[in-house]
Amino acid sequence: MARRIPRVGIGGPVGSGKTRLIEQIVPVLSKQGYRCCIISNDVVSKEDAERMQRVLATEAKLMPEDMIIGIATGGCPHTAVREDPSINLAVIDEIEQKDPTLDLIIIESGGDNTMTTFSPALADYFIYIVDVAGGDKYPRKRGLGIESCDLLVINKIDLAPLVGANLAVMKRDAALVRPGKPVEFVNCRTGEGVDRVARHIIRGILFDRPVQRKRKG
Amino acid sequence: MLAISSVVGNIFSNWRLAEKYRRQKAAGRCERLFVSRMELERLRLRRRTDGGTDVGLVLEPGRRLHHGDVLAAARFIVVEQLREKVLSISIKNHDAEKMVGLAALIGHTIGNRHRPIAVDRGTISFPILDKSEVETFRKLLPAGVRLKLKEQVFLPAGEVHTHE
Repeated sequence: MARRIPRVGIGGPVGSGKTRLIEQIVPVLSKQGYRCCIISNDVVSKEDAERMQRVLATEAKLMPEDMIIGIATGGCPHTAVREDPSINLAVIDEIEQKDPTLDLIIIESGGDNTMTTFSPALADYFIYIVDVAGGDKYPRKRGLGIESCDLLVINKIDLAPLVGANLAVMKRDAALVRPGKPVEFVNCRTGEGVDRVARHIIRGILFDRPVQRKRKG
Repeated sequence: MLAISSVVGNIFSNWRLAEKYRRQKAAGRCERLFVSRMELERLRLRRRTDGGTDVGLVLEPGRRLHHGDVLAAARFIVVEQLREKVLSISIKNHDAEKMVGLAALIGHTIGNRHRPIAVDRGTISFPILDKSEVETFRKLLPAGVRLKLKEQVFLPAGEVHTHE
């Protein structure tokens, strides 16, 4: 049996910044020696996966192109990560056979408003991302995604003054609806706060494990 | 971080462990690892116990945690499932024909919300996110069913029953 590679799920509404967050996190993890694979779930498009292939593989050369996989779920993407994750599990199985030395598999999926969650069979750690443009009411609107995620990420903080969103209100409400659980405010366009998100991943799922590689030959 | 990769048993099914649990608890040497129902199914989890121990749990594929599990560690650490809001629907005094229709309607209504269920005789229970949902179910379900909201450890159908 191939080694089970730790997996983090990143969910959130369309346009909240899931793909951009991954594009910012992977270089931070890569700098520390962690090697990742990405699975991007979408309804019919593979646009996000192709963009990450261009940004992270072709341009940044941080990972091979075939380690960024797009899945067209054909239905609600959240179904493919929650109720019936079989297609994602099949792809993960292939990845684990292909390169069991990987440190992390990142699974991206959108859809389903604030109710998106990842099946525990699929993801060991769950990040839910929203952005301030949806209004500062987002955290207190609650929903399974916001309440049950391990880390709530609030993106596009630079837009807060432009859309009248109060970050202090979002922070207060997040603490009320998810007591004891972390929330991070980020700007995925500039990279502000992304280091802190990467730190949560390294601590929460990689267990601060130092990177150890077998020498080739 | 205290790395743990297995469970030694469950205090609700192993009387020796139950006895040890009582002794450790009385001596103030028992630590509790609070985990939500969904997190019980995770194979990889990092969490602090109520005693402050930083636990990094990695289980073999096919394994999962249960309420009352004792972790394989030098310290006595018991998994405690977090309580949640649970709505119970009771059906009583209907003839067989009505019961079939009612049961189908209840199953359809709960199933559409992707909730796990527990069935105990004429009572069907399932977790809800907030008490505001009670009103929704009251409107969706016909008169003659009784709804009751409780905060408890929820064990879906198929789970071994444990004491709370």
